[in-house]
Amino acid sequence: MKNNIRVERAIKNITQAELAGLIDVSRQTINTIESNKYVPSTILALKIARVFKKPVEEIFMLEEGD
Amino acid sequence: MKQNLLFPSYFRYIGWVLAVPGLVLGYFFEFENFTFKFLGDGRQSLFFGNGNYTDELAITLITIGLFLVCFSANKSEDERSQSIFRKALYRSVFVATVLTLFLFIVSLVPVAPKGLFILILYFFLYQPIIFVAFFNYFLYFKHNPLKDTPPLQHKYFHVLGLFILAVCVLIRIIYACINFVNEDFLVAVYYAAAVGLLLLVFSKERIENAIVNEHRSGAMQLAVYIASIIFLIATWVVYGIDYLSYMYFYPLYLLGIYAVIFQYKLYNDRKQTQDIIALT
Repeated sequence: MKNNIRVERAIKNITQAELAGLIDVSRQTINTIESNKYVPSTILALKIARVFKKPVEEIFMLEEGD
Repeated sequence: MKQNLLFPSYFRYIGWVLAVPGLVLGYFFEFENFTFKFLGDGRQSLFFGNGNYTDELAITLITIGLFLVCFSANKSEDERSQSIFRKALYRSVFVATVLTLFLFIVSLVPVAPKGLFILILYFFLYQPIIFVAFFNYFLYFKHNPLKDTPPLQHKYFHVLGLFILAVCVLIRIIYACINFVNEDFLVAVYYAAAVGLLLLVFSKERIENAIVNEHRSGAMQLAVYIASIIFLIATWVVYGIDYLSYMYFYPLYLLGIYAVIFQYKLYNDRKQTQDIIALT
């Protein structure tokens, strides 16, 4: 699975730490999600999408082999 | 998100403050014959009942200290660290049990050094330290929650484990009935039972899903709590050869408690499902 979080963060001009604070997770978790090392739960994905005011499918995309 | 029952994060430091002196004391007691004179007269071996409480103190400090270290929360707890906690706990019990069983088998080999046998007593030490290693590895390197599966994937491990366990129980019952006394044989039977239990506990269930995984980790956490408390109480209440068995067979009763709790949770689920079906 891939995601656009880094791009969306740049658009919204917030750091990983700020995003982490908004959804109540650690900065490290945001880092591992962005670098595709960790797959967030549904709830966390929905929270992230809500921060960027976009549908969740525009933030997280399935890849071949998922 | 399922919450783990954890201590506040500063308990981690309290844990190390207890555990490290405990480890040092334990080393000096075991290998340098050191004792605190105010804790009793004379050095008496753990094996023959005790007039001195230095070893009890060491084990208590280590057990409580490492327990606090393992079961205290991260500075910032979130779903990822919770999921890593469950995974690290589950795998640490597996690795620690395999290590203990491996050391036991190696110590049986005639050419093994005599001191090796004593290493199988330290499961209460291996499991938390392996947990800390796994936890930090998953936290700082790689952790994929979707690949959170039992270590033994092939379904026949389940059957093999049950078979070995059944044979051991049978042998134990026969042993109790006949006029044959051999401590080493009994220990071998118990360790064989531990192998069977290991295969049983760490293999796939017939039905695998997220709920079963949650039950698995909940059961493992509870089992480690209960087994630690049993071990701690035994440290002060049981002496001599009897206490040795609590050290020897720690993985056995830990896995046994886990299996009971886990199967009970699964049974509860099935019962609830049947009740719902009966109502509709």
